[in-house]
Amino acid sequence: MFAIISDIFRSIKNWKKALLFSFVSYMVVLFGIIVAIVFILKGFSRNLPILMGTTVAYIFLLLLALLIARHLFKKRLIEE
Amino acid sequence: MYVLLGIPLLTIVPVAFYFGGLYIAAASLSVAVLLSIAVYRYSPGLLLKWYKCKKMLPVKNIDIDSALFFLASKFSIPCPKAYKFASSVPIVFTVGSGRNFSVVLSEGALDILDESEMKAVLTCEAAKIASGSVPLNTIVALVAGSVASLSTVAMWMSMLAGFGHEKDAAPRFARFLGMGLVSLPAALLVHLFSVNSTLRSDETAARIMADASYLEEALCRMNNYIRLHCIEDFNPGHVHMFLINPLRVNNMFDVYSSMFMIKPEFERRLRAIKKVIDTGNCQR
Repeated sequence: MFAIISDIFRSIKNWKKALLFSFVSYMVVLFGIIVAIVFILKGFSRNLPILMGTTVAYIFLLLLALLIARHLFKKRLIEE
Repeated sequence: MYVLLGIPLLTIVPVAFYFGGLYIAAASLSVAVLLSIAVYRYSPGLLLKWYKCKKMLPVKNIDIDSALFFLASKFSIPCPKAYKFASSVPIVFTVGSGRNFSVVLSEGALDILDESEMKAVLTCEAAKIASGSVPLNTIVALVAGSVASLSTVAMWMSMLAGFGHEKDAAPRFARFLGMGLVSLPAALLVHLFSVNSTLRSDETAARIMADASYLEEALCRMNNYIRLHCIEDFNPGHVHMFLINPLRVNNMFDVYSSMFMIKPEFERRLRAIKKVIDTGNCQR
């Protein structure tokens, strides 16, 4: 199982790995934002629409940036 | 140039108008204009300070100064000043705006290149100035470099918070996470705004030179040195300015460097120079 995962991971280009880790880093930030909203507004379930809205907007903008980056990197990057 | 630089800053104006009204919008517009002019004017100086560049001593740089003067007259460009900075890696780049340009050479480049190869490298930099790509690349390097260097701040903060030394796991992980956040906007800035004139300036330099094989030799020597001996970290936001790309992906922590490798393949550059030599376009 680990061998298969390792093979798949090695076959991915470095810039794609970088985008993947970038996505994970931004998800950590989103977690921090959600925690901050919950603490500031004192509650999770009653502020669910705000949290959902923030999450959807954040992920939409992030995916848009990642798609633009993927499009640009595919054309211009050199894999050495 | 000012307009291009001011476009991202102008997005602030509608936000200011929405929150503060007409006067705040006018104030933010004037601040945006002043800021864009300041970035355009002072970015070369800030980058020279970033690398702690020093003017070359007259005794050492007689040939470099005269070579730059000769190239300036040949390309009809303002004569660039020569600077050097402390690094064992052979790095050469040019910064500048308006009519002030500076060619920066690392001590490593001064050590490994002989006089003819040095002249070839300077010709390549002069070709870059003549192509008009230097001012925009300088601004992009300053902005993208500043964004990319925030990951180092994350590492230092984790070190100061008591998570160990520079080589320990926690500060390195903090830097990795920070780099994940900052490398995407920095790489997008480089890809969207920088001008990649590497191949064009290589070809122009090869055509101008009496013997373009020196340029080929210089590039090979610098590239081999970087491949075999380079252990220094360079800001990835600055790499689009350099003559040779010093970034390598050696381990998982370097994976973000791969987002900044926009220079053409080295073999492709050599092929372009060889083509100029073979067709006999050099000015012998």
